[in-house]
Amino acid sequence: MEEQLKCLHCGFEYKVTTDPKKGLHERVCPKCKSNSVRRLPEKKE
Amino acid sequence: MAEEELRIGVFVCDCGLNIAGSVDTEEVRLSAEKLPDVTVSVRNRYTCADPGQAEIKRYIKEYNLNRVVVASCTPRLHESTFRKCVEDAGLNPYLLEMTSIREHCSWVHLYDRESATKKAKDIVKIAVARARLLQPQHEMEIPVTDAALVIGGGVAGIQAALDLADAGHQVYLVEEKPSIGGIMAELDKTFPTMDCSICVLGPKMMDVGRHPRINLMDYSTVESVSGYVGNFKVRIRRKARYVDETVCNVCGKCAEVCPVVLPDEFQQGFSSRKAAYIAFPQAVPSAFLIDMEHCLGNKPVACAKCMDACEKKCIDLHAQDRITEVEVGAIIVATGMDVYDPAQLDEYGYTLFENVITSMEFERLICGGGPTEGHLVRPSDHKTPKRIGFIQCVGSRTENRGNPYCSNVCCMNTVKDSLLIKEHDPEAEIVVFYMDIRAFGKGFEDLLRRSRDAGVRYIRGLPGEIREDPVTKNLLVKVENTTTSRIEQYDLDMVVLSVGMEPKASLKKLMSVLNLSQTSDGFLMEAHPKLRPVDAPTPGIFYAGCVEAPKDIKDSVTQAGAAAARSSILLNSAVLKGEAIKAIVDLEKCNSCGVCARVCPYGAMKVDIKAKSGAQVVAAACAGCGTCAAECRFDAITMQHFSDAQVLAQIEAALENDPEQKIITFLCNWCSYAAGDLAGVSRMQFPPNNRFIRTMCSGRVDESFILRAFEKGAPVVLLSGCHLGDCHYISANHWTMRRADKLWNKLEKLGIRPERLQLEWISAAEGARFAQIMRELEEMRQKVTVDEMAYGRKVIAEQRRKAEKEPEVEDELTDAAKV
Repeated sequence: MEEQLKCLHCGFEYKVTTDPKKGLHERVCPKCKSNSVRRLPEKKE
Repeated sequence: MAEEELRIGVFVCDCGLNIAGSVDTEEVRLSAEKLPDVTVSVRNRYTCADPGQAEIKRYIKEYNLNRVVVASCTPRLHESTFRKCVEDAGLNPYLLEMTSIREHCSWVHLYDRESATKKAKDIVKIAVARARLLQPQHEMEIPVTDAALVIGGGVAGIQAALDLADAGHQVYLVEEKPSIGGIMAELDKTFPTMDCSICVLGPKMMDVGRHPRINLMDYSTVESVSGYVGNFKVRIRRKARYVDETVCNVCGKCAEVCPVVLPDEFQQGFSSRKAAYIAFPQAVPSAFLIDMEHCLGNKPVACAKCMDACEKKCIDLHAQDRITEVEVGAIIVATGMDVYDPAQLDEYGYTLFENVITSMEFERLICGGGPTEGHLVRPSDHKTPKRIGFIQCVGSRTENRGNPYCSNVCCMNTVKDSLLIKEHDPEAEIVVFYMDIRAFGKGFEDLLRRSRDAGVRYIRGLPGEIREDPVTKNLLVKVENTTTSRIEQYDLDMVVLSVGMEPKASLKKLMSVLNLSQTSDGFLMEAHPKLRPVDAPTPGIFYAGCVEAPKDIKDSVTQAGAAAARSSILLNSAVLKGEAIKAIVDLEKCNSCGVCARVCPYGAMKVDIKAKSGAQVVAAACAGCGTCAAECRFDAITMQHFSDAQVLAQIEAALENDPEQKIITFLCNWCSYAAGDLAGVSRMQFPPNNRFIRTMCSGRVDESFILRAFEKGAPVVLLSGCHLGDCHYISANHWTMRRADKLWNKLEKLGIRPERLQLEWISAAEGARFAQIMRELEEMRQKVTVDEMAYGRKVIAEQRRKAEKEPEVEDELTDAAKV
């Protein structure tokens, strides 16, 4: 499953592919290493 | 009942110059004196020292204090000291509130006395606000049943049972197979000592069989477990053997006459057994049984030749499974592992080519007690193989087909097997294809050297394919030797696949019965991988052997001893002191939605959703994380000692004055609070604008706490806890993360920048990171405008008022409810 993530610390946006079966994983911003990484809601068409 | 008049004593510690050096403690004391319900405010040079404690006791008596606030070092250091102190003076220990003005203030604001003093005054104010709402708490006393259940009769279960029984405890050892012994009983020799496996294990099996304090329940399974630490009730199904093992004298006449011939599982299918059989010659209990699944039938009896042949008349073809219930105080899970089945790897031709076998099959082929009586032959023509290949890491260290982890034992097992072949036939040519050889244990490198010295060739590279010569049944193996970078081809008589270990297929069911979790590799999750490696997260349950991770015999036995010792500590206690910080349910508010039960990492909440009878807390199982209280949409759950009212009072106290200058920071007791302590001890400086609120777990931080902080004008809020996977409460912080996601969406909907809520996982070792985060939060705080703070206050206050008027549940379910 592809997720759109946004770091609420530095503003960096990126996408990751996750496997819901594998459970939750710690989100870390690849740029600033903050954990304040928000999963952006899917945009309604 | 009349409300008790609050009489709070505040004790401000100088800690020599540790606090007084950068905080004006007299000003803090004077400020505390003016706080509501404070009867007396005292300054001590060293509050933790005997004179300081004596002073607290004296003031409690003189001023008839009923709440005590100590503002000194971190509660992680001296909370228990001061709890004992106030208890000695006749107060309930939970009427103490301790707060840190050292690690979280004086030591991190060394060069700004004015700001440090201002912050210390706030810290005391926050503590007094909480102290006003403290209630006496009582640690539960739980009686302990002096008996243990050991599930699994392999070497780990055997060792754990013997250790516990020798220590004087009653043990119920449950083994699903007709005999104990496990995988070790099937091995020929053990590494690195090359001992005969059954010669080492057999005497221990016998000891189990005749130990007066071990009740061996062979051919049995655990059906259900209820209760909690110290008081488990276990329901065990004892499958019918159809032979009375107490009478059977193992004459074997039943097997002689039995007409049903089946593959012998113990011999890996290389020989046969009858439907009337004994698991293996050294089996314990030493008795035959009837394999009713393959017997010609007992309803009605179709054959009965075994009954006729049995002189002891101990066969009853109408025997039934029996259900037994036992009560135990501790449970050791030692159910072992399964061996990887390489049939799915087409390239190696296992099951297609007769002379491709697994390492477990090899054990039986070379064992003196095996189908060939120890003569090594290959399956296709029963000739002695002269050229034998071993392929390592089959089913291990692969992401695609198999398992990603190293199975720990396969390298040394192959080294051992190569030496066994050389003992049988020194001229045999042996090639081992490997990725890495992991010879890390005591005596392992010596054994590997012996193997190389004996002429065994180790080729670095795994074959891509095995092909069979249809005439000779020889095997052609092509491999890239990565040491020489050449493609090499080998013509071999037999290939042994060194298969890895994996979690038992039946483990899921047991996990559900015992409420256990697994790590990403599928093995059972420990309470803490370093500090409590044999404890399950569920109190009173321990692990031994490969059920926790792949390991060799020595490590399994070591872990079994550790699990027995941990269980023994528990069983030796007449009573257990239970956690005082627990959830309680208001049944009038509870609507039995079941969310609390779903989020509780300990299975401590029981809800009958259909009966709508309300949630019940299994007090002995509740560890006090507070996730249930944070997730309950009906505010039906109160966390004792960390109630909503207490936390909200802290937030309001922190933000009563100059809220725009303050950052509200929620810290979990075990990691992020400890990281703050480390920052303090290391004198890492950061701006003084943060106000810390401690909860036992980040999972306790209710959505309403964060919204209240914004409503009261906080520019920025930090939610912090242990890293995922390190949570002191198993997985409670997963709910923190989900809640943060939900809150960010909610804030955005309300028109509040989600960036104002920050989330950070900070381990107890990350003091520097803690300080850095505090500095960054201050930068963030300065960017929040007065207008947006005012807007946030207004919109959240409006929403709260609306919700109070219309107490109907919010527009969306919690994540937990959606699961």
